[in-house]
Amino acid sequence: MIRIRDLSSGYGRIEVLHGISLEAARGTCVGILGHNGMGKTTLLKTVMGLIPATGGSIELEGRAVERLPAHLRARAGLGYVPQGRQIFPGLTVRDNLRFAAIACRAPASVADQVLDEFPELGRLLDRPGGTLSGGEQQLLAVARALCGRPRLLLLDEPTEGIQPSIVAALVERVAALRRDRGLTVLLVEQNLDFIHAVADRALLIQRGRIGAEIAREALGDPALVAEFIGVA
Amino acid sequence: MDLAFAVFLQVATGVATLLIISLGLAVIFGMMRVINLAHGEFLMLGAYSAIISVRAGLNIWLAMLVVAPIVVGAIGAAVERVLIRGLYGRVLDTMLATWGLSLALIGIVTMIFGDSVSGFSAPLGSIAIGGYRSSSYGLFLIGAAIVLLCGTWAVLRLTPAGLIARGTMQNAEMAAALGVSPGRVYAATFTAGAAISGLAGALIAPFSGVVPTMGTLYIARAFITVLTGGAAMLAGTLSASALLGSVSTLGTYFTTPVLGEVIMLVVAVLLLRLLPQGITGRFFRRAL
Repeated sequence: MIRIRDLSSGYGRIEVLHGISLEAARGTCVGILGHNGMGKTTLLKTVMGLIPATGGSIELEGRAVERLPAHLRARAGLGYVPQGRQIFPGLTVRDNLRFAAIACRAPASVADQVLDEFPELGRLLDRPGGTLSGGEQQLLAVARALCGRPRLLLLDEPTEGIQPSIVAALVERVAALRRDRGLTVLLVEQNLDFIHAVADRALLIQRGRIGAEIAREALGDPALVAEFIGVA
Repeated sequence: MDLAFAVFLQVATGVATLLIISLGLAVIFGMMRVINLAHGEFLMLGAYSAIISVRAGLNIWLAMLVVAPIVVGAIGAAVERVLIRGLYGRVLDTMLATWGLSLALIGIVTMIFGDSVSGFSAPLGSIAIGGYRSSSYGLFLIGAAIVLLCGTWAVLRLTPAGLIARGTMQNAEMAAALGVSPGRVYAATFTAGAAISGLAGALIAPFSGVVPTMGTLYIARAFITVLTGGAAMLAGTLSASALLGSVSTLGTYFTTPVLGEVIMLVVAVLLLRLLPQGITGRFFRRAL
């Protein structure tokens, strides 16, 4: 589904990623763990095309996308849910969804289908995105990404500052999306419980490199994970 | 009663004129934060496009309402491509570049057409209001202002392209990540702003006279209107035009045209002292 090889990128002359390689098969969810400043968000932004890659390759369904601008990657099947959610504050919930559908040239009915999967948003449709709570915005951000009909979803710290009920909803929703749509997910997260609940395996990113791979079984054991994060 | 109505009509015409000359600037500034110092010259080019077409035998309405916006829109698209595209987000640099463009356009037009005033007359007669006469062209301008304002609102609010433009202006990076090319949206917005300015220039040409330097007469007023209006581009331009247009027309009516202009400037300065974010920084914040 996605194959990343030796990917490097950074900000100006400061390189943040020094050769990341990872793969995810269709329908799987790969978690990416790591402390702040290790390059997690940079990795997702580079995959999305918001930061140019300085080396390496990104293959999406066999197609090289590392030279494409962000908007063409979105149309090629990448959905992006950024850290901080980045909802359009002045657009209503409905318009946030319509925006994504129009941008990816999806039919308007896609927004309605997505709303069936996110019933919480139904009563908020005419509210400006900026007036929603953090949790509601997070659901909207995921729903909005789905309106572009992605096949790979990039999720950047979806549980940050979110109430537990929404975290539970997200766990259930990500599982359903993988099951029903065969959606592949790259998930950057610091919340171990969440990663354990949704990911098949996790990669530890340290100083811009993949430090270790943690199997799903090990994710449930905090002591083991602490050891990984400590050593690697 | 007749006098009151005649004065009212005068005021409404003043407001409409201000709105017409400011709207193109407001679109470019409000949507993209680009301060276009060549706005006055876009007006001037619109006026020249109209007058040249009329002299070539084209119907005057076609020349004003169709040719002028298309020509200036095309010029705007070219300007965006060569001059503005690399400078987004650099306010000072865009100001310098568009100021240079302004001087260059004045120079080029003077070279080609000379610096004498030409003009074409208002293509409508006058109407009688009791014992007073008023130009029907004023009425036409009021109608044009309403159509322009409602049209811009409708495009932004009701069309898919308008939705994409509004979202991209709020968060260009996120828009790109969702599948929108921000560069294309900027180019289209700048072109639309230029086309509106071109139309505006043609609309004011019948009473302003057409000279290469005519833009300098209007750019200050357009800027004051946009600044006084504040962040909400349409509500701001409308409310500022209504206020400043009324003040200057009434000031002119009761004193002299020069004093009327001075009174308008004083009001604008006071207003910006009291409301540094402009009218819509305080009122109608959620409007477009």
